Amino acid sequence: MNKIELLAPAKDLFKAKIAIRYGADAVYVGGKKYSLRYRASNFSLDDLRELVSFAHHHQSKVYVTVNIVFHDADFLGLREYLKELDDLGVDAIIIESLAVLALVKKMGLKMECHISTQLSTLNSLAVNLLADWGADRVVLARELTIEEIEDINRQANLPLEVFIHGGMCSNYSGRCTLSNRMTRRDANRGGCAQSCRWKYHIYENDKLISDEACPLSLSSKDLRATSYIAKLIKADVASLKIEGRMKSDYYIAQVVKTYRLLIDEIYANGDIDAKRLAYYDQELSKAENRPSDDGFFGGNPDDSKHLYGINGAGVTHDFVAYVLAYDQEHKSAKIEVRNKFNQGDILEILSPDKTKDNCRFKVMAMFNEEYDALETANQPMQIIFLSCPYVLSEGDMLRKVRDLNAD
Amino acid sequence: MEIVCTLKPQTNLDKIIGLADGILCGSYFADRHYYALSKLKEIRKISKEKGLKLYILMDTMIKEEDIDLLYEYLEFLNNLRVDGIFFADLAVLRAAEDLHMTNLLHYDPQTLICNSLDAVFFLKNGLAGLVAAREVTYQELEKMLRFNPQKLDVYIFGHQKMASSARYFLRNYFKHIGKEIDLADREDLSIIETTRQEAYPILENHYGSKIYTDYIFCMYEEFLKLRENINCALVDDIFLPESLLIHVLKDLRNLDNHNVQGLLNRLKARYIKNHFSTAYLYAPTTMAKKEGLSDEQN
Repeated sequence: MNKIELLAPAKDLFKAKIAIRYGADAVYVGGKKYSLRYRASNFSLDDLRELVSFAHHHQSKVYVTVNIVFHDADFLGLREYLKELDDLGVDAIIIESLAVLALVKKMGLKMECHISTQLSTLNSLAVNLLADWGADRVVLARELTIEEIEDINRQANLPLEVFIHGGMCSNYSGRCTLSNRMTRRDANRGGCAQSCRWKYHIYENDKLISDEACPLSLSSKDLRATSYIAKLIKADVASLKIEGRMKSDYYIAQVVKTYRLLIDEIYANGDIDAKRLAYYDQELSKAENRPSDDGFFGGNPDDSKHLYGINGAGVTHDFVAYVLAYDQEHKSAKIEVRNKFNQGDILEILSPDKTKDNCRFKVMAMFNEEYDALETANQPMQIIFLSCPYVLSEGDMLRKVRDLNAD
Repeated sequence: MEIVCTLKPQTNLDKIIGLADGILCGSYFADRHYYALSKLKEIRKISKEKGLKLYILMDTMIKEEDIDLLYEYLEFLNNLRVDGIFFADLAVLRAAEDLHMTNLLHYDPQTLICNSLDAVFFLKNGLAGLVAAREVTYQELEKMLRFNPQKLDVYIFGHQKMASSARYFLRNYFKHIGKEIDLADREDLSIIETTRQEAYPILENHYGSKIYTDYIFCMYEEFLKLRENINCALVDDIFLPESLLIHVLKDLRNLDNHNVQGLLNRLKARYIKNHFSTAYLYAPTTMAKKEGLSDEQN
């Protein structure tokens, strides 16, 4: 049994490296073409070359999304692009089009083809058909319970990938064109306007039957599958996928690290108890910007898993700075400011090094590059020096604790 | 080319005879137009006598626990000698391969067949037909049909499905606001986004929720130009009154270059409350926000 893979998203090279540093076994990214996240920065071939080198050096893998729904014109230049990806050493592409699958196999390329969740695969018959056609992995649809995933995996002839965290399409992925109709932005070619997150009134013929003060939203809470990780490991699922190619570096670091530690703890101890799960849920909440729950893992979502009111979660921590360097002699950190904080605030460390996990300190003295004392750090990208009792490393992150009662 | 229409159980079959070449009826694994198996047998008998083909709608996604039922149902359909099966989940193709009935299959993944090469891929696997996605332009559709002549099925009339969800949007919402509403087999419910006017019909049942377009997709002129290369021209009667279905089927039978505009004008005049549209045929979607597009909430 191979150790389960933790697969993280990244919208640019910087974030992909963070995901790997914080414990991802593989990252998935979009190239400049054929990616479903049009607004993500996306990777040039040079970026991909650097990422593949970095990832392979860290024993991680790189998957590139080629998962738009293809129109005829999109095939122009595809063959050359696929060859370039293969030559760069990309480990796999994530595809929706079976014509692309056939092309990759016909070209004899080394990289694997993973079937995107855009194909909404919900059963082992479909998985095995895709296996016969040459697919190397299938990303299952999110609309499955844990028992269904276990059953499918028992019958499937291919490794399976399962979403465990992040935003949820409210409709079957790939089979929604609300955005197309309402904004003329093609949901299946990278332009999704997330019309499912908007508010709607319900009518019976011409009579309003919804509550005007609390309209319908198709929007669901985000997915957080911490309590199912042990079962997914036991089921021998191949890969656990985090959603969020549009998310911030701080989010990626927090989420990847939390699942990394959770997975490793389950492997070390054989299981995980409720107290430890609560701890990991608490850790994830530090990066949440929307309420979350277990999606379809426990059954078809009821009303408690939808978002009808305010979409935002109660933010408990604010990412405020990157660590650039640390001077052990003077116990001083050189940091790059990202968000405002003040003298007297309590900061918490987020680091790939788990020995520094959540260590907190109070902001005492801080200085700008001219060594002027500062009371407030409020200029993004400003370099400042800050005393810190803990040894920090380049790339560590600092976050301000909003709620001092929060763990 | 055949004209095939979906058929609600309450529609008078006699009125369809001579207008459509085939009817599309649902039973298991259909999220609408549900017929009991005994009724399907009855329809098969009548349709054969009347020279009408019987196609079966299987437009739901299929769960692992339903695989045994899937095989059983496909065997039933094979024994019933149906003329074809329109399906949405690849499990049906795999099961049909095992049962040696792939030649009956028409794949309709709703949004996914937007190019000629994917169509070729599936047709090479022995399918009888493949339904083109609704989100293509006229030029794209024309090219796809030329590339795969008389193999692609095209929806030419009706409300278009915009979204399929396993979630119970309405049931959950009404529970949330504490209101009891009977949602079974309702075709009179719609949703309107709070800053817009278009009403999108919504259906909810055991399989989840489906949202349809406010407009009725209608391509008379284009159908006339493309029909030689179409396999099945599909008319969807969901949310349509029987009279409108019959009206359209008659028009499609009589369409020619001389009367097409007149028939279209007469249709629009008679059903003035309905909104008819050619959807994306001349209004391609984009990949990002552009000036001039209606996108208040980007």
